[in-house]
Amino acid sequence: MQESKRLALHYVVRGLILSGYSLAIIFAVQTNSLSLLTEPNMSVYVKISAIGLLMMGMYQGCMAFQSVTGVREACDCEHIPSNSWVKNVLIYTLFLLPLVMVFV
Amino acid sequence: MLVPDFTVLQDFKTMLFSILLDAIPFILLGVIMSSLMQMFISEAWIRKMTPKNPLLGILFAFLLSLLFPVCECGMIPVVRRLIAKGMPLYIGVVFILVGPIVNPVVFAATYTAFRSQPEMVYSRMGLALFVGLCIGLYVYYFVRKNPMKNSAATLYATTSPEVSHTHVQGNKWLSVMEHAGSEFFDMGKYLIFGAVVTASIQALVPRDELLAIGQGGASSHVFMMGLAFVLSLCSTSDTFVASSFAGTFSAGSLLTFMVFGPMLDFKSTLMLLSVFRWRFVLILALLIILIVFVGANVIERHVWGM
Repeated sequence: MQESKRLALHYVVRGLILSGYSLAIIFAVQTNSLSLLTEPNMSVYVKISAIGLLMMGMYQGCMAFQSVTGVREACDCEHIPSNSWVKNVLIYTLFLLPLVMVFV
Repeated sequence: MLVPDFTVLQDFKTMLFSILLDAIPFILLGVIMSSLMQMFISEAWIRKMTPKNPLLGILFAFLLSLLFPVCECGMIPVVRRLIAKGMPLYIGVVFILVGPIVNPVVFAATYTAFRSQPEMVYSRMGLALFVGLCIGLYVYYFVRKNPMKNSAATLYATTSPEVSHTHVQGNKWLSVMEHAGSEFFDMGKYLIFGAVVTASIQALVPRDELLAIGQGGASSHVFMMGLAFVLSLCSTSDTFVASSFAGTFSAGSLLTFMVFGPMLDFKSTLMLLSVFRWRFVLILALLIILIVFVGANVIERHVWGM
């Protein structure tokens, strides 16, 4: 797979995961279950994190779009996701596990 | 009947989310700060600010801890970044160990949880500082070889500040967001793995088995270390878990729990292993275990006269 397309795929998956976590937190707030899960003092920060996660998720989406249309060059810094399919599937499954538990 | 299984699953879900939700704000804060530091702090500045004298250096690390209240989840990417930018190893290590405990947030939490025992707050802070001092001096004098795992991160970070690292034309803040996102995934996988393991153990092992170890003696300290290691909670959560044990466990063992836990637990060990070589992590672990054990026992004897 061409490098930029491979990266774009990673960005899409990451964007979805980050947004998913944001939605999970919002879901917890809406169903009033946040107090069951965290101390009351922390609930403000958790809500702020939901916003942060959503912003990061959307930016990942932007990056995916930019990768595909060629505006963004693939950079050679340390954050390159690994090439191994197995590793990537395992890691993203790990991230998806809590989300699945929330929404299923 | 599926009912017994169902409550275990429910417990597991609740534990898992408690841990994750407690940690996520701190991880986000940590990766954002780490990315900000990468963009905006040059290594020359770090070298200028850092004292040469080891004792002053350790004091500098204490000061950083007071100023930057971050949980250990968020701390490790920040320190990795700082060390790569030229901060001496021993200061970074002290910061990782002491930072999660000696800060205003945790001070307030401990005070709230142990209102009837204010000496617990001072003991916790004091013991943490003492451990930091000992390990800082050890690392300064005895650790010769660079224990950082070789990654493009450490190699890349030494490029001069002129070569500003932006992926899209010019915008530094967007780069911060991008780096924060990648670091979140780097660190997050350890957090989630640790949280899953911890939640499974907490959901599957019956409470009373956990409580069966009683008061006093080395066994309660050892048990509390093991528990803290396995539970892998952020230092504020540690506080409230410990206070829930206040009736059953000795004050000294609770102190062990609250100082050992934030410094060394399953989740942070995994994260440390992603940054440092395993031999170094092992040495750190042994030192922490030893000093916390001895320190907590000494404090227990003198403060509570047990």
